[in-house]
Amino acid sequence: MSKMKKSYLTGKEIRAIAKENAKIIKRLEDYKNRKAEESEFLTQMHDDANILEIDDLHTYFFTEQGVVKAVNGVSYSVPKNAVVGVVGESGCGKSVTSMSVMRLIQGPAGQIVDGSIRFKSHDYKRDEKGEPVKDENGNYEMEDKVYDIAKMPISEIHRIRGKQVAMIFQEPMTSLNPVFTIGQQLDEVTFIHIPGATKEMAKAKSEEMLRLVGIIPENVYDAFPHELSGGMRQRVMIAMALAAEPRLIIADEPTTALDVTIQAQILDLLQDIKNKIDGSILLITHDLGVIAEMADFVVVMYAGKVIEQGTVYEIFQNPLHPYTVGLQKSKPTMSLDDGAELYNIPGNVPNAVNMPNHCYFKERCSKCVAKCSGDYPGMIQVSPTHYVACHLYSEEDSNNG
Amino acid sequence: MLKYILKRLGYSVLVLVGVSLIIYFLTRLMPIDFVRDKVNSIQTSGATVSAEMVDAMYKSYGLSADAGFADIMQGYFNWLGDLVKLDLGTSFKYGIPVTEKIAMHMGTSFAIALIATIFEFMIAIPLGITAATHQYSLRDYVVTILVMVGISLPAFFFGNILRGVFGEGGLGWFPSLGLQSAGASLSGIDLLLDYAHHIFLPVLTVVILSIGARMRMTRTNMLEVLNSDYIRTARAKGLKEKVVINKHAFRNTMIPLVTSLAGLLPSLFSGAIITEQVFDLPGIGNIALQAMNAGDIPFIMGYNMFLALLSVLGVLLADLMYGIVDPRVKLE
Repeated sequence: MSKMKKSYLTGKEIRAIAKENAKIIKRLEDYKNRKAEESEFLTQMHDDANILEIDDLHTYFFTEQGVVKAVNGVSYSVPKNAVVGVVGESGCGKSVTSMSVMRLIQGPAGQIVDGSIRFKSHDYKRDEKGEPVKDENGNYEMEDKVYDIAKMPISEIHRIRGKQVAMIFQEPMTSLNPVFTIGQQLDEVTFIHIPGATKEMAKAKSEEMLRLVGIIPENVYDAFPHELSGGMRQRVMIAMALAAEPRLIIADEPTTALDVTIQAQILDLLQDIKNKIDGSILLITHDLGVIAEMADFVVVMYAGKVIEQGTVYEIFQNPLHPYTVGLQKSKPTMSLDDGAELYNIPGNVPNAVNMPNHCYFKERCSKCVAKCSGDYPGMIQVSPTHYVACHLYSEEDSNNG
Repeated sequence: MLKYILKRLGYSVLVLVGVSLIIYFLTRLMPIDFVRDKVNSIQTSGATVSAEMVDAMYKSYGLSADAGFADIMQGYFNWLGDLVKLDLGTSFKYGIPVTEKIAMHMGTSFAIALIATIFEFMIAIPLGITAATHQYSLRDYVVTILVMVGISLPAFFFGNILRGVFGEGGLGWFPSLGLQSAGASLSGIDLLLDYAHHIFLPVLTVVILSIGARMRMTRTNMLEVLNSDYIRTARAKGLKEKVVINKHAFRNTMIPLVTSLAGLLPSLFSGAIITEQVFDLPGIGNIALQAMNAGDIPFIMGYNMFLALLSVLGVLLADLMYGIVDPRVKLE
């Protein structure tokens, strides 16, 4: 029914939606573009072992058809020096969550509506004028600060982007600027983030980063992006992300656009880098194999919500949510009997504009119970690290997982 | 690179020969006969013209009363033969060599076009960029509507309005007609200021009329660039929004703009026909229109071939510029 309604909006309804959207967007844009004192977006981590805590995040897209709740109350955290994998099918909101952390959601349609993104930054101590402060030995002093990224005005976001949180994107073919050389684009990172960086310093740093990702700098430093292959460009993107030594690297489907052999190389590289850098990786993918290989913790998302999270062992050895179970069953394996069909989860993700009140997975679930028609299930803790949002595991039988 | 340019110039010669053939035929087929008009005007003044005299006149201009295909072909090859000797012939109407007449009036048109083009780019590009970076905001709508009004105004209408409001008879801030103050003998900086005073309104007309297209082009390009993945990468690096737009996005937006600049080459010299008429300026556009009405074949040929040559060079220049501003383009 909701689908029918979506395709047959009357002019009056569309105008009503547009008017309502414009009002909300105006308020959120003003909030985004406001000037604010630092104290307004300073906060405290709830758990000091984390460097990123996403707490009840809501990121909506205000479209002509209505409000699409792409991220609808997502909470998860990234501990220090850990790899957190986020899985889910296309459109489940995993990328939008990571874009929200970088504040790269395209306005005016896309907006962070509610929630907080606490991030512990480790940055140069700065005086009132924004100049870095040196200690008596002439070294720059560092300090830890916790920012609420969701509350930051957009003009302050440069404190986070690149230096604290770096991002590797899905499309290496188009993610580099075609009119600048690889060297120019890499050097830029050093120029932005290292105070008093010189040309030589930047070049040395860029070449070091290129070597780290397995590229011989002499061949590539002066090349333009179109002269490199997709795998090489993704390596350059990784080098660029590493150049400012960020605390958190968000890799948004870093291998999806690459062919299989290159995928393996890039994953090896990420694995390798994970051991070399002093930071965490947030790995977004729909490939469970990648998650199993790389991640320490797994977050499973479905239709804009987290439905299960735990350590990689818990999720793979003991998946609880029927959706997680389905995801794992849909993975092609060599041991499959000849002629046996690959499992697929029946049905589709519900319409993003008119989400039901009950569990979003209900229509596709094979284990539905009467309770499923009730309210959306809350998060249930099954072990100190394992959480699931499913009525099958609510209080009375939480131990039979 | 040199080989590429030489090859392109070789093709250009072929194109120009084709263009000249078409223009010559079209000109000869126009229902205007310079000799008959001249005979008519002599007759209206009361004198009689004998048939022999008419024939002699046709002959002296290299024309004939009812030209057939062979006659026109003959005329074309005569013209081409003279051209090879770098002789564009003598204008029927103005009675002086075509090259001399063109050179005489080129300066005015070129000055107006050059100044107008500079202002056009200086105004249109920033407007296009603000409109794109503030898409769907009040600023975007205001800019877009204003430039659309500019595009939609016909030159003769807008030119006359400016003349009426700011020229003599209106506010009187600017002279309405001509290029120089009559009877004044000025020199040096005063002469230059006098020129500037006279061409202000024509330049304004041309600028207002042409800003729109350029601004729309900039806006569209900028929007396309701003939505591309590498702009997201630039933002993700931690660059300030100003740098993202003025460095990363601007360089990419400039690619089509720079090449369109090279394509403007002929329009710098062609003269603004209607604007020059409205303000009665002795520009090349105005002169060419009068020559056209009189059936002045050598002048029409000379003027059009000059523009054709500039167009061909402009296209070549645009391609070369592409190779310079876009590293992905390799010319060979």
